[in-house]
Amino acid sequence: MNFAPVWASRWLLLDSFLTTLFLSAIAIVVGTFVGTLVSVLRALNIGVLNVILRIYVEVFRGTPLLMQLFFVYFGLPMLGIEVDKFWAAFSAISLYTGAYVAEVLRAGVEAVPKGQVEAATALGLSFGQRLWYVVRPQALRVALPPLVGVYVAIIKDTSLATVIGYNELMRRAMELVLQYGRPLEVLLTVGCLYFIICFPISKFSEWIERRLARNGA
Amino acid sequence: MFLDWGSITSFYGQLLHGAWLTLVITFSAFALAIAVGIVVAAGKMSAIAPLRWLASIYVEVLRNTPVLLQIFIVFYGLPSLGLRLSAVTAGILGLGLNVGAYLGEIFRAGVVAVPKGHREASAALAMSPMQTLVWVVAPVALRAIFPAFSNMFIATILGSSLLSVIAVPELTGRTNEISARTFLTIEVYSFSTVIYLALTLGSSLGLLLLGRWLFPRASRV
Amino acid sequence: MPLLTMTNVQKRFGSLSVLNGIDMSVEVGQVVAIIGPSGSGKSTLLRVINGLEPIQGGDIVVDGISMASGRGLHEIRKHVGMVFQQFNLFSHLTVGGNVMLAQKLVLGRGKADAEKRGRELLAKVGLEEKWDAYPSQLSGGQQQRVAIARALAMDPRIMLFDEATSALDPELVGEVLGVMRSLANSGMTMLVVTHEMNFAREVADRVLFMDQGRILADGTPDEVVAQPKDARVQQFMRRLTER
Repeated sequence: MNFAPVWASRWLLLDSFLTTLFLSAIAIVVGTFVGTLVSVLRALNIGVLNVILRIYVEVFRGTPLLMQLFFVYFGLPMLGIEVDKFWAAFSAISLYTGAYVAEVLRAGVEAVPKGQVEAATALGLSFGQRLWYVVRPQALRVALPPLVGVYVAIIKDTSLATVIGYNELMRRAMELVLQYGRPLEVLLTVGCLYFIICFPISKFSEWIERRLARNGA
Repeated sequence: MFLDWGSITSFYGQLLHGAWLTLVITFSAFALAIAVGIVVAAGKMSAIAPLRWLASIYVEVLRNTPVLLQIFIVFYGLPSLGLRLSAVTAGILGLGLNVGAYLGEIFRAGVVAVPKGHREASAALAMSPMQTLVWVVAPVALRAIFPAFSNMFIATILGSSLLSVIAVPELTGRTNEISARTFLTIEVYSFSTVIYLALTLGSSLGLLLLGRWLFPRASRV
Repeated sequence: MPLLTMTNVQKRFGSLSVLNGIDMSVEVGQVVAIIGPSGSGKSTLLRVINGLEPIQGGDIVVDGISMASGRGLHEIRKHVGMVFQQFNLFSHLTVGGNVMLAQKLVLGRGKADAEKRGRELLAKVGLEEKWDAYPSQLSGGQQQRVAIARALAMDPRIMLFDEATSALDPELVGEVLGVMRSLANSGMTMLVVTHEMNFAREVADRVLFMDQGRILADGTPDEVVAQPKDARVQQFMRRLTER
């Protein structure tokens, strides 16, 4: 084992690590927004819209992220829409995140007893009021741990952006491997970087899950 | 700009061949993952503390780093330790080890979900610990975790696409290659998307039916 | 020779002593009711007999087999049937599957023999037609009767009943007690932990009163339940009748 080349490249690795964190953060924020929007629209239960949203969720959850990245990066230019590496990675991962977030939130919404929504309707609450005051607090309790789980998965999945040449951590790692020929050292180091960000978030998710279970969710 | 759906018919064969390889990889990796998962679950529930720690470390490391990185380590990293594997083998190994960490946690949760009374009744009937595990704990646990188990199979199908990055010509790999060669990008990616959906949605449905058949409603409490 | 002998049996949970040197024996065909306040160790007394709880001292001998001997625990379990408060039927198996499983695995009976014996016993508890039903499709009383049939299918020498009717709705208690009563009449050796004083009075040959891990009274139902001599037993009986 010789970690000298890794140490020499520490600032490059750190720079790419920040790029990974940045891509993860904006994909999570936008994806959460998209997913929330989708689950609210699905709660409205409008026939055609429901079908379209369902197709969105199923397609993005039923095909590999890798395919989605390729489709956006290589496919859109064929339709006359130019996208650079960042926008391709960002938009594909955000849409992918949105589908998973929508599914997690849907399960949360379904866990709210139907009788409570009916009671709220009988009390004269509007759709928005029912959603905000009755469904949201309870759905979020159920959905929060798996939602954080999705976020961890997204941080790891940003590594796939390497295939379209976006310069995040994994890409930088493979460049260093090519440059120095020390694959094991470089990859283990990069693994540690992913681990130190993902592990605490995973533990946090387990912690909320235990806490909610104890408080009788 | 126009789409040329007619021209891709000549690539159907290659794409379906890729889909076949995707299935082979998925089943191999999943079989490996089940074996790994059983070992990990046994380790996490072991009476011997170091085994529990080892299993926990395995699970946490594999679940908190990208699976692509794990595949790279097996394919590019292991040769420097003297272990050189073909791309397909390395990919199956990397994917299977990863999915195994998740399955290990799922199996453990299933065993925990088996009511204590089931084990006591088995003991009172003079069944050995092994008989109890095989005939009572395992079937009841499997029933409890079957949905999560099914989801991991779907995740394995999707994960198999990562092997394209180490040049395995499975469905994603074939699609990229045909796209780059012919510029029928939209057409081939659309076609492969449909194949992936058929594989994942088909597997979901198949596993759902398998679950209904294996575990009649009345037996699920 | 007694069928069951317990000599100076000690059981502790951590520092808490649950059984304080139990000495007793049960003859073939005896029906012994075990009563006492909750936490007195009466369930534990049953659970040590088939080794669901390991003991820290003394010995238990069933049908000449010592718990302390090599394969003692396994052999004793084969001879001792147990019925639990919560039934503990295997939820993934049908009624038939429940009564056949241990016959096949432990006694090595073939499927045909196991089924024949199972159906006989289900008929005995009045549930022959439920062979293909799952436990979740049965009432509590029916589940408990299946559990009795499952234990009997192992042809035990002794049957242990651990508060077998405590988890049942009041209207279902009778059907289970009825099965237990006819089992007692057929000559089965039984140890019954129960709150049903009528059952203790009418069916048992002998009643044990337990308190704080000791047997305080041991005698005929008349001696222990109707005219207790011990002050603690008197107090317990008074409380029961007051309710």
